[in-house]
Amino acid sequence: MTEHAPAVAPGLFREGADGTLTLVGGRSRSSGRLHFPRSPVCPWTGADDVDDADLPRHGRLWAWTTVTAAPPGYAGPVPFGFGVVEFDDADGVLRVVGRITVAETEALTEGTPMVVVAEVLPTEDGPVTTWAFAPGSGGAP
Amino acid sequence: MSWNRVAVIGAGLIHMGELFDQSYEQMARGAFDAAVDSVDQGFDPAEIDAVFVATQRGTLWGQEGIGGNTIPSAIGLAGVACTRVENACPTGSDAFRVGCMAVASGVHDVVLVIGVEKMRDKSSDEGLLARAAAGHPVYTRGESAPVLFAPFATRHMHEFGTTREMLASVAVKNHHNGVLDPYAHFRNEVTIEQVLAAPPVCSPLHLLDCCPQTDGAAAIIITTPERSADFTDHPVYVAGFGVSTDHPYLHEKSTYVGLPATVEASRRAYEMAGIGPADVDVAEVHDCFTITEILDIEDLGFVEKGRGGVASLEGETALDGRIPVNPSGGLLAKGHPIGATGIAQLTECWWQLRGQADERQVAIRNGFALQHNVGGRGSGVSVVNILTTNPS
Repeated sequence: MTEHAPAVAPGLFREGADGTLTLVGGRSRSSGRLHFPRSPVCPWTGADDVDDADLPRHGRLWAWTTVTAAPPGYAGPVPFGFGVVEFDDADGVLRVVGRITVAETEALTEGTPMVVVAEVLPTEDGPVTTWAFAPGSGGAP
Repeated sequence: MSWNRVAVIGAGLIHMGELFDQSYEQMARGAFDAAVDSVDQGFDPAEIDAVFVATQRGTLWGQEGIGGNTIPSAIGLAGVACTRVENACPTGSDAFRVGCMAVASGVHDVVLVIGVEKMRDKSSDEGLLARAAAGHPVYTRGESAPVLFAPFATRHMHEFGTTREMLASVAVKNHHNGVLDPYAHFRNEVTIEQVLAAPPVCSPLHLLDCCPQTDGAAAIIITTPERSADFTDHPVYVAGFGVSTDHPYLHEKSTYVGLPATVEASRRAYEMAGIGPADVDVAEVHDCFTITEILDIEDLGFVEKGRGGVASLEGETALDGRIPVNPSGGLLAKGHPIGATGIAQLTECWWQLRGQADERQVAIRNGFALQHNVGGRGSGVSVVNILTTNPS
């Protein structure tokens, strides 16, 4: 059960009643390409025919780091994991950056299945809800 | 491409470091005086008819709104044309490019390009590098400059077998060069073991894999080749320059083992100069992190993609190596006062091409030196400038 903390920023994701989190990006009607976060224009073609589009919940780990030096505004524990996850899409792959729920990422390997989850992040302005990537294939697709 | 040539007649900088005792304008004055004093046959500052100021983040010294235009009066030139240029980490190198275009166009005759940056007056938490992503809804929680570069190191290690020792060898080399550079922020040797054992920042980057936050200023004076004869018998010429952009965010990148903006900026600069990477005698490149220099030397064409780590470990980029890189100590040892960085790199290139780099002097065979910066939130902009001793 997710605590009731406000979203880190509006419009980035949708939370389900069951605690799941779905990232909301955009898809250009002309280019067909998916992007995140949602932009008024397709980042690859500049087309302004973008509609909201849900991202897949399941992806693969592509690059990662263990952050030992806390960034400004962050009030949670260190180290924490941070990385890039690849999601398959009709026209290739989409990469999304974000926190990894595993603090020590050294044991992770490229291609590890990752699932998008909700995470409550302590900040200097109070807790906020954000997305994170957890190893495994937990939950329904 | 047809353009009028540009000549460098003077360049200088101040000792980089934590300069709490100097104001923004005092740092600028120090660099300006050094550049004026460097002109071989003397120089009357009244010759200058335009100033381009490179400052990336005026908020760090509390005067964002008027950044740049306080400089003319601080250097005794109130009334002169003055424009501030800002373009992320390549701010200084792009201000130089803009100044060159002002001369090449014939609009301005003698131009001062001066880079000044106050990095340390604010705490590290409020600093420019820590807040590289401030204002962006996604990136403000959990990202800082090293976090943006760490995944590139992870991917480079994964795809090419690059090791932490190879990353560390870049810090060892640049600190060694910094010992020989009287203007460097850090003037101490480090060993591979010390780099490996330094406190982790974000894996695989540890403290000595990261450049410091440094205050500094640098200045360069340019004019037409014709006018340069009034000031020096040993001018250095601008052979070419290039700028390129890329998608700003990590997730839009096509690759994490290279920076496409650098590849394209250098391709444009090489084409303008009519040379290739093998013609370059010495390079000052953007080593904000050790992994960045490894990406740079591949993207600039000095070594094959994937060999950057091995080439660094084997000494190919040392002062006596095949292609000496960052003889000044680079950002890792000399420091990275953003607006001043590119102009300080160009000053080192100017010294190297004129044989004035003392113990850091490298062999100049073809007469070409390359200067490079890359930056922005996800390394979305790169600038390359090429200087030469060849008059045509």
